Amino acid sequence: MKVNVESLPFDKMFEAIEVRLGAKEDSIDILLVDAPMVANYTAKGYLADLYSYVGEKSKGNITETSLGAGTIDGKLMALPLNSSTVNLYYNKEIFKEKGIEVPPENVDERWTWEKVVDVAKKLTYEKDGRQIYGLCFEQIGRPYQLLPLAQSLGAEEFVNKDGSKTEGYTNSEEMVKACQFYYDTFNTWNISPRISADDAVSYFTGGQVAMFIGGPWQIPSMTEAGMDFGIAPHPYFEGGEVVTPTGSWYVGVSNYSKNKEEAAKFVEFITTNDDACQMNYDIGKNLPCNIHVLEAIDNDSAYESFPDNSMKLAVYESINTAKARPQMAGYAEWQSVMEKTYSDIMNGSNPKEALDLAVAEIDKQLEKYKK
Amino acid sequence: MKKLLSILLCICLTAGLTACRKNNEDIQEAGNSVELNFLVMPDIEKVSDVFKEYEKKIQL
Amino acid sequence: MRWKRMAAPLLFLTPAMLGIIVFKMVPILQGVIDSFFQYSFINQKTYFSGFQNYIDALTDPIFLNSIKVTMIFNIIVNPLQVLISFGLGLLLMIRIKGQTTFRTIHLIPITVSFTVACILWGVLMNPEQGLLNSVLNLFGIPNQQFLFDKAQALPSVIGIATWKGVGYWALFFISGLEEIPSQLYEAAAIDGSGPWNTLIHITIPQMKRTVLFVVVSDTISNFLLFVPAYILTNGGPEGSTDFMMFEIFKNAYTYSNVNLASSMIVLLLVIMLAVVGIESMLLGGRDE
Repeated sequence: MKVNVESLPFDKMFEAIEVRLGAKEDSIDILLVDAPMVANYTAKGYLADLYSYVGEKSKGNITETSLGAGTIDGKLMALPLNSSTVNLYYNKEIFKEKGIEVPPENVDERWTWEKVVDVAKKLTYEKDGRQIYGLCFEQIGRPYQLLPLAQSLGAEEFVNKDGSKTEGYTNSEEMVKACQFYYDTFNTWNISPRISADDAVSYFTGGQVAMFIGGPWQIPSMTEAGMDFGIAPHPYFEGGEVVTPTGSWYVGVSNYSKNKEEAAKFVEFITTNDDACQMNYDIGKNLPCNIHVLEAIDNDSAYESFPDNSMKLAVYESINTAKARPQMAGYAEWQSVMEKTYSDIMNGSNPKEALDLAVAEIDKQLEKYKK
Repeated sequence: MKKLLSILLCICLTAGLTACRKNNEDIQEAGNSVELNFLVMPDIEKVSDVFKEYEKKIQL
Repeated sequence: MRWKRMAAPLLFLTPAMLGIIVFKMVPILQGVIDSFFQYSFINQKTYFSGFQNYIDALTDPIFLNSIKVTMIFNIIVNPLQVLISFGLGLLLMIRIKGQTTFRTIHLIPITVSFTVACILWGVLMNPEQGLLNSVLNLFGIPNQQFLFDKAQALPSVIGIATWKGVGYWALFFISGLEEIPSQLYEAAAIDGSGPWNTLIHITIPQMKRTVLFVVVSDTISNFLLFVPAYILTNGGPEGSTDFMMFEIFKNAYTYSNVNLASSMIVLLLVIMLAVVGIESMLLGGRDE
């Protein structure tokens, strides 16, 4: 038996899923399912029910929340490969060069966004013909990364109860304020580079960014680049709630696969088997959903040193401050319009106007889930 | 006439050999049986060694 | 008796006709049929919906914007490309030293795939570190946003598409120019006609058929423009490069609404046929 891995960039992968599974092709047996998309893909009939293929013991290996998020109407549609969190990574050299104190590691002393911007302004300068930026998000333009800004300001819902209307929710006051902040980092304070999410981490590992809001899965790249970096907790707005992004990559079996049973067994292995999950963590530094691996990280002395000890921070955030993205059947449409909107805001569009246009477009798209 | 026949013979031989080889390959492939296609993105591709572990496990 | 004469040509045409029918006609028909149906995710079935998709498309401000963007793009780019490639064709006909080299240089954009060309131009036009901006900086001009600026994005795409297309269309003009019998030029020279006069009264009228062909083909390929929106701008900023083909793609593959996308394609087809029809009427006429 052989597993052929086909890798596509983030956006193209989503598209390939729509194109190929929408055409009921059997060229994909196993696919990654972004946590908020499990309901969407289930509604479209893309996923096979894994219930009869996965054993009870396997299901007991992973956290209840993560198992639950992959279950729709009692059917097991996908299993979690990993969960995630976001921290503040910083380039120690840049801080040293400007003589500025680095952000503290302690979660009780975490910086506010206001303080981050203040420091970022001081850390945006030109050096040897290269531009150094004070701040950069990893997932530029993506709701995963940017919704917590609004959530920290108090935004609770982004869509109404039955998932059919975003007017008033996605363009709420808190959202507009958060998007204004996002706009300012690029256009008013000029502390962030206008680049795409695909390029963000290489700007950081290339030494052009002082503070990088990203995920632990980027740690291998940072270590490989020989960076002198530090880790601090995710910032929050002064007077607001501490909110961090979370969400997992799930794995599902295509409903059109000719090898459902073999595929399901493979999925079961990589998502629940203790050794596989341990390996997944060791190589990729992805926050695991496997209970035994989580316990090991917490207790095992092998994970005491940097950067593994940052996993404790990750576990803390995922338990205490993490807020998931909105669940709705029309998530794909919502995400697509939001990405376009964030991009326009980064390029200078007025946040309120952009958001108002966005909800109009999204609500029109959501109509097809009503009939 | 002779020329035409010899060309025809060559074509038939080549076709026959290719068919035999393809047949052999197919039999071998059936023995190796299942191939699963997994669509991922680069961040997950990094941990593809985990997937190879499964292949090894299955061979046992 | 007549059958025997028709048999051979018909036989030779059959494979090509089959290809056209299977790969072009059937999907078009399928698309038109699809446009009159809708699919319900809730009920998991397709049902007939008449002209609802067309109404939905024509009342969608985003789609209406894409019609506007496509029309503006075509009104500018078609005459622009035809004129430039005609001029280029003329230039490449002049018998001077190194003409083969010049001709080869102008063929290079044709050999690059449009996708690769867009990616390369995207790098050149990078607002922070692109080569184009570095060159502009030499002349004291500050960094331009190009594809990230609402006003500059469409002109940038026009630039890329023109760069890609003119070499190709110039080829057709060159072949058309070479067909003009030299006696006409000799006769004109004898009559004392200057270069400009010769151009207007001999060259251009003789090129009517070629010009019509280039105009129609160019129009069709420009109306179907998709790659720059997909690779570089994602339809932005603020929908300024949101071509109809891109909206169609988005509706089909991001929003999984193939039926609505089919109705949009039919609308695009209708507009395109109308434009091409007008062009043919204006440029057609009898051969002189």
